[in-house]
Amino acid sequence: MKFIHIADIHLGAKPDRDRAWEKERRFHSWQAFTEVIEKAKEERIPLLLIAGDLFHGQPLMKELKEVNYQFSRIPQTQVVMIAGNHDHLVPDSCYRMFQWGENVHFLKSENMEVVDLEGLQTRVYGLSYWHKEIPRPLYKDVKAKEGDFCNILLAHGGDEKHSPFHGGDFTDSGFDYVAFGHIHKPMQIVQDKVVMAGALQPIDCNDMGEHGYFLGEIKEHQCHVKFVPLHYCEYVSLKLKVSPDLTQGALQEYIQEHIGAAPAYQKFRITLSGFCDRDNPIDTEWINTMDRVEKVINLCQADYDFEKLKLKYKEQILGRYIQTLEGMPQDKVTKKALYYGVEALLAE
Amino acid sequence: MKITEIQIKNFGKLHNVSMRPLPGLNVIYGENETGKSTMQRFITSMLFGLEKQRGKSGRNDNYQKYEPWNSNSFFAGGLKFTVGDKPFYLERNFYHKEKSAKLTNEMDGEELSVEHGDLEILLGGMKKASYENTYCIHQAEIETKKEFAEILQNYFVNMSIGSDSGVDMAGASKRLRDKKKEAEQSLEEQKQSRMDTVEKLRVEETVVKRDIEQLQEQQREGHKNISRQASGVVVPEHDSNQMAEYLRDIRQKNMQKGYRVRLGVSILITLLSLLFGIVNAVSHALFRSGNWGFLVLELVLLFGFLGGAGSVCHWFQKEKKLKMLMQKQEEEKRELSIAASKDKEWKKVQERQETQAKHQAVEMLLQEQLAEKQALLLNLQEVIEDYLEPAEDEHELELQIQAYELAYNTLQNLSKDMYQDTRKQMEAEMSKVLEEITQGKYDRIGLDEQMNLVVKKENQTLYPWQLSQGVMEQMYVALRMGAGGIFTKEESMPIILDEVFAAFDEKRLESALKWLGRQKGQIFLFTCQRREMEILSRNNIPYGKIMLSR
Repeated sequence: MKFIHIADIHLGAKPDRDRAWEKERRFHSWQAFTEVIEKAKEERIPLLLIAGDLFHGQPLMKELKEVNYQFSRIPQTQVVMIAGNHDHLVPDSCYRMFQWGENVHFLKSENMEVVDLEGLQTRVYGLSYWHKEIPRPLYKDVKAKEGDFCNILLAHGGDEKHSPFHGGDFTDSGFDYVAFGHIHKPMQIVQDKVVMAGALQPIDCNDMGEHGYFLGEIKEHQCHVKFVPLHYCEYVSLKLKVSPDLTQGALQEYIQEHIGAAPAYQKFRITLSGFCDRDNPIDTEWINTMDRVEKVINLCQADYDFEKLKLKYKEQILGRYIQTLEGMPQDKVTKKALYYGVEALLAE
Repeated sequence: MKITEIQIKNFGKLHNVSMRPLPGLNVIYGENETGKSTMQRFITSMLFGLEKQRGKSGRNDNYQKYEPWNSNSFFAGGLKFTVGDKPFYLERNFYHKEKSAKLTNEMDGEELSVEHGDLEILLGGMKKASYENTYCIHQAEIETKKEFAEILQNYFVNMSIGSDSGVDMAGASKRLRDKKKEAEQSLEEQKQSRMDTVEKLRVEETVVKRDIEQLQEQQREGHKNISRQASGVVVPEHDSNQMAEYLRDIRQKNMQKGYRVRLGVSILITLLSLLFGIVNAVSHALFRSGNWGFLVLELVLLFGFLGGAGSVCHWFQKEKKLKMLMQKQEEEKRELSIAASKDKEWKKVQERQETQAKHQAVEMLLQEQLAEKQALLLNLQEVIEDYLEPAEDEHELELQIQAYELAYNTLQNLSKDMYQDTRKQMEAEMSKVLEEITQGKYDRIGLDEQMNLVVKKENQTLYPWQLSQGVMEQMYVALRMGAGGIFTKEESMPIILDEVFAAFDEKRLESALKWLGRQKGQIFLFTCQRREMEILSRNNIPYGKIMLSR
């Protein structure tokens, strides 16, 4: 039996506020979701698993209708879904009163439920989040019931505030596949068995790297999954080491070329490190306005040689200043203050 | 440093002027407009250079001010001097297109590099601004320039002379404060724009909340509304004309009454006719009177009887018919009313069902709308919460502000420490000068917490503006010369005094000149009066005399 496992679609999310591509980004979650539906339709996938956070917040009635319409396009596919922490079931949730299509099974109970998919000889276990945070491990002692079924656990969580778990928790659980959601980075926690789908598409700029869904097949209790990336948007980290003789123009040209050669769906987070000319620091504002640059993090340090400065200005204020600050507990503030003070004292 | 030869090739109004000052006191005498200030400027320009300010054309541009009158491209001069007994020769071309400076050690002919700071080392690390604020003393400036306090402070903390330290303490503090302010401002801006967004979202939140309240209100009132609406509907009655029926009933009752009266009269006539007929017949039989009259009467009575009986039958029939009709009508009416009430009942049931359905539909709709709005509200509140959290950039700015604050405070503390070390020495030096010039009238001069100049006379603390012009000028000279002495430990720089003794009385001028004569350093005293030379000669103080003329 083939299946598709997705999670963290975050429909309704508005990523990249204040960026030029803010508007187009709003559609990505819907576009990606629709692409999955189309895939299920084309390949006649009998089971679609949605491991929570289908919506970015509380779903609206019209959004549910839209989603239900998409599900109605794949009547041959059984859809099993749960609510995650983002779209958790509040007392008056639209989820509670919505009438899903026949092929949709929404496990809305707070406690473990099981849905028997008769034609598929499959049982899917799962529960929905009723709260924003559930710090207790929900899935630790869940066991599949006896019987000749293909057993799947649909789960959500994986950090300390959201049902923490270990891959080992499911060793003797009797599940053929554990379909997780919540952590946005896709990963196979236990190869072909316990899988974090990752966000269908990145939700914010911290979701680096490829995103997509898992396409799997279970045959005689043996599962095999493969990751299928979707390319509406991808954040890529570009780390550049600069030197004092690098000019702004050369740096920007390099960045532009690098970005130009990359696929169009990629957005870049640029991290600058190394040493820069203390008199001509790199203008990150400028780089920030470049096309497809999501953010610039400037970790460059002015190329001061503190040891030399200390020697040169030994008994003077500059030497004493460096010494005093180096004698303080080293944290972000003292490190910055060291540069600021030296910069101010040496400025003409 | 001692200047041994001044060679003005072309500078302002002076051309090809050459002079050899003495290592000690020199008096440069000249009437007004003879080029005294040009010469002063020449010395400082030789020592520190003369830059043409880019793009600016103004009074403040010394380059333009001293551009040679005869030729603007030949703008040069030379200076010979000794530092620690070593002779040096400095040549400069000031012309901005061919700017150059050549420094030669005359002992071994070695060429030194002005560009790489060799001259600066010879000057003991002194910068132009410091020189002009200490050794270069002009008459016009009565009180120390505003920056003087800052420059003093800089020098207090940068005591080790002889290095090429160009550390500008006050500037550094100011820069740090400015940067901090900048960071604070942009933090404030970011915060503000975040709060503006929150404000907007809060308005949206209020609207959604009100919508929810309204929906809830509607939900509560829903029942009443619907039932009230039902009671307002007029239930249609069965078709019947009550008025016609009423009139018909009255008419029929009247008819019945008429029939009965007529029936009674008919019965009476019948009975009377029968009675009289019998009486008539009996009396006829008894009396056997053959009177035809009785026969006629009998006949009449018989007719009366028959007629009466007939009409009894007739009216009885009529009444009976009417009664039957009325009964039938009554029955019909009853049937009708039963039918009507059944109809009503059924309608009621139907209505109740309809109401219920309507009610349910409305309730469902309300519930849906409510859920939608509540979801909207929760999402909105989530976004507001997000916006209430300071953004990453704000954290970074906060760190920067803290760092600027730390840098500033550290610098302040360090300079205070160092200032305390040198302050006493400084004050002692300056007090010595003042005491000598004022012949012991004022014995202590110093700086207060704000680095303002104060003078102590016995137990009184006075600020310069509380003193007379003359005393102020004396103090001023004392301060500058004292400061100059402190700043250059190894090699004192040539002192330039420009008409500074104009307000001194004879006595104090004499003390001042005596004191000057005892100084080890080289002094250039510019004056347009002869009295300085006279006093010096009178007191046998050696001095070099340079006379400028038009």
